[in-house]
Amino acid sequence: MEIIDFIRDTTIKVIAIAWMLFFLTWAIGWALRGAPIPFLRVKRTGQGLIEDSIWAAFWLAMGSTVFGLVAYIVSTLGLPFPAPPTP
Amino acid sequence: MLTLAFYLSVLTYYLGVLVIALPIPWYGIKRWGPILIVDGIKSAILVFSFNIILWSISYISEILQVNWESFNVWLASKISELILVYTFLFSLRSLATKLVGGFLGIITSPFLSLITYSIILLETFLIIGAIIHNYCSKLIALGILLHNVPFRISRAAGSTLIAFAIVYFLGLPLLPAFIDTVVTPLTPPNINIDALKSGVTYGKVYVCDIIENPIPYAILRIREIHDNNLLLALYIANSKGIIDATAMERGLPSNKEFLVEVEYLDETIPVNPNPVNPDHHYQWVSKDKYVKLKLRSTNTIIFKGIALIFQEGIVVKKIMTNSTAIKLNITCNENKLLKILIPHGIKLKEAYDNSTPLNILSKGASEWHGVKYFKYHIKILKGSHRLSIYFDFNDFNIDNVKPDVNELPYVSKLLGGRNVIELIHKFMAFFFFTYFIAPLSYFFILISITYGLALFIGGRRAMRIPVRVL
Repeated sequence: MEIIDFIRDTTIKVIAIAWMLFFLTWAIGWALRGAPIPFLRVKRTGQGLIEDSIWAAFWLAMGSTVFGLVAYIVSTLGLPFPAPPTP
Repeated sequence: MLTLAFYLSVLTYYLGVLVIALPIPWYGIKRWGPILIVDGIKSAILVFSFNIILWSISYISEILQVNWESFNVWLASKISELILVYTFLFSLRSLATKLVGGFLGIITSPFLSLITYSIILLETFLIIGAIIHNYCSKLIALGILLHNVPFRISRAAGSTLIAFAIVYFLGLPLLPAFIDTVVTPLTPPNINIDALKSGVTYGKVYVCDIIENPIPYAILRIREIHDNNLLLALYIANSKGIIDATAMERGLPSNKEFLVEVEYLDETIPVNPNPVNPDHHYQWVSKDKYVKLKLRSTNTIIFKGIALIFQEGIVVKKIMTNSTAIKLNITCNENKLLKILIPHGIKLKEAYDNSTPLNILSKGASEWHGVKYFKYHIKILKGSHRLSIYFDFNDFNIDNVKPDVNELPYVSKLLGGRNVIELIHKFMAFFFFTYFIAPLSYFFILISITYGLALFIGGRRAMRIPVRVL
């Protein structure tokens, strides 16, 4: 059970870090987008970071829903098979 | 194990999200984000599908009529057969080496090695089968666990393990059906396994008359005592009355009593000992390393191919011979019969009892396996007699009494009447293909199916060895 606890704790830490990174990336993205730097590439990078952070937030929030959906669908499919055809 | 696998799939998912959330605008790293999210979801599906996988395996095994018990029984019986063949070849080699030199060892050694490899292969199947049968679900669970490790580190190994468990659980018990389909059954020869087990010995048989003169070209039949006097072997003596049974496909029974029938000029000659007991009647000739059996007639005298057969009750007191005549002093307490068998080419000139011509009851010509001969029945009255019989040999050759009949050597009969070397070759090729090539081919077929299924489960990228990092 130690390794399961370790994996679970690691997962919780990763979720916490992911939320924090979401905020950081979102802020950096807006900062790059709004900065008075006359390079389009920088602004596009900032725009990309904003989009990635929103997507990360979306998938973070949807995590438990996704796994719940998977469990529901597979358990529905896991109904007993009909008897095999006899020769 | 499945709980751990599920948590790993969740961890993979959130690692993917974390990678997307990184403030690093480098596509090489960012592309791992969606990959990890998808991997996490796929891994979770695999974990929840564990029971579905097990149900599918049992469902398909019922369709394919997979039966592990009959598979184990089949394997065990084939291994026993191979061990029997190995033992037979080994004893044949050690037996024949004494007489015919080491050449048989050169022929049988590679066959013995092949049988050993076949036994090892089948034993390996037995062990793999036991592992798969008992640990199939555990192997699949372990495969799922390895599959779910983040960053696809052990995904290939996990997929392979899952595929291996599924394919071998369904495919391995079908090995007997595969071999039956692929291998053309050989016509089973009439090999008398019990007789082979009871043993063969090699030696010479000396067939002789009362006074130990050889009976030339006598036919010797060896028969079972029980089992309806089944014929075990038929040999023809040479001109010196010796039967050479030292060749590999000839031989004599060594572990059981048997009846002997000696025939000369269509007359069955009673001999001693009969029945023959190998333990008592074989004499071991250490110098020549073979056995010697002497069969001595109890009522016949052979004189240059001519047979004089005395009815029981006639006692021969004295015998004198020269190049053309035989003189006998005999007594009998009743009227008896004397049979004289004369091969074609010899003429009976005169026959006297003291000075009186002998009373010939009947005379006839007959044929024995292509050998023409004359048969005389002579009445011998009660009392003592001095017989003098004169013959005219002309150009008679002893080879004229050789019967035209096919021999049936003992070992050849045990092996169903075939040539020993040819039989060994045929059987070894059959055994090698059936018990080595065919199972090995099937094993490789299953491996290639396993690889294909592992690619399907793990994805093509997962199976590739990474040579470029990100």
